Amino acid sequence: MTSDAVPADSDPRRLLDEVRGLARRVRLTQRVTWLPLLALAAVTFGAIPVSGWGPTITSDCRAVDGGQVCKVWQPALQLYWLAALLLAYVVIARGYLRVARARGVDTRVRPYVLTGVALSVALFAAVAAGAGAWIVPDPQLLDPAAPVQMLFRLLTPVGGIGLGLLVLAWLERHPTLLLFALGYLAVVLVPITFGWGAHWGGRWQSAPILIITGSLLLVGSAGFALARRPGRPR
Amino acid sequence: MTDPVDTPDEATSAHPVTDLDDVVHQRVRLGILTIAHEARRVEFGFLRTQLDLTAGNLSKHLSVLETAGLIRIEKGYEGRRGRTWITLTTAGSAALADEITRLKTLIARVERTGPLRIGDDRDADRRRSGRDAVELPSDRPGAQRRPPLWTPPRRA
Repeated sequence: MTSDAVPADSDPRRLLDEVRGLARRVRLTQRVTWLPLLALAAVTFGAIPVSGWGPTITSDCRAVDGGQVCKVWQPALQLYWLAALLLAYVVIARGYLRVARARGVDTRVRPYVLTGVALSVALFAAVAAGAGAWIVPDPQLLDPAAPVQMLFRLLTPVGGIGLGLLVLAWLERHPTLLLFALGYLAVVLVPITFGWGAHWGGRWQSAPILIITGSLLLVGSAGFALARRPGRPR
Repeated sequence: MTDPVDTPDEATSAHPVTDLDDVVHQRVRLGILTIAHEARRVEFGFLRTQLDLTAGNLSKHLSVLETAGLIRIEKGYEGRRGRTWITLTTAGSAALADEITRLKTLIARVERTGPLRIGDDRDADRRRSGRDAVELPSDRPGAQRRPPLWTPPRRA
């Protein structure tokens, strides 16, 4: 035995365990996961009437093998997505800071908000510039391959919301949110036609995906809010 | 006789324990730095609750860390309520990272060589005797264990 023992404080394994426990506790305190999901659900539901009743501008039509390819532009819908998402991310940033500071900590939401804003602006610019035609040549644009269709679905505002949630899950080291974001993206990427085929619903064809993704966000928001209730084991 | 465990480098280099910084290594101060690092900015009351300290005790530890330049303390008001916020400085962030690295090094060394002996050339003593000379006190039967740094809040 030795007379020069390591004090109990210095048990390195125990200290590291305690450090990890404290870090985890702070991360739990910083989370306000229900807020972005609620704000983004509201934005998604708000897009339904705009997509149905907003004007659609078709231009630059040209014949290709098997049909005709045109530039389709829904200015009201695209502007709605841009403005509503930017507003939503401002609300999320302010709300996150307010709630976390009331709990006695600061938050790491800024990279998420910046990612969300950047994605919203980039997707708006891509649609406005007709980026679809850059990704695939004309003949294939009429009936794109499945991977291209998935890419197009990902590069929409609802896809951008899912990509942003992945960033939030990473920032918060939040495995449940990561699973939620992956599930959400799976729903966005899978074609939802109910067997009616493409272009089945005219100007309302995007309503089902908006209702489904909006509902998913709303249910997720309620779930995370319930899981955070005081006194509930986390 | 050759050392069956330690490499020549390890045998000649200082033991990781000798590198530990007393300001940072103290468990409450390590807790404060950890929380401040994770939270970016943390309120005095949150620290007090999480570390289960009295205001006076916490103030003393904060004062040590502030004097060492590891944290910055800002006092202000939100409405009529006074609030004190603690932010980790760059030096504090580096000191915390160093401490975690040293703790991990220490654990890795213990796992490779068995329980530690701290003191003058006691590693060499252990190497000579070929047996583990010292155990950590917290591993000893009947050793008094301190309460953990953080305990989950209890339900009423």
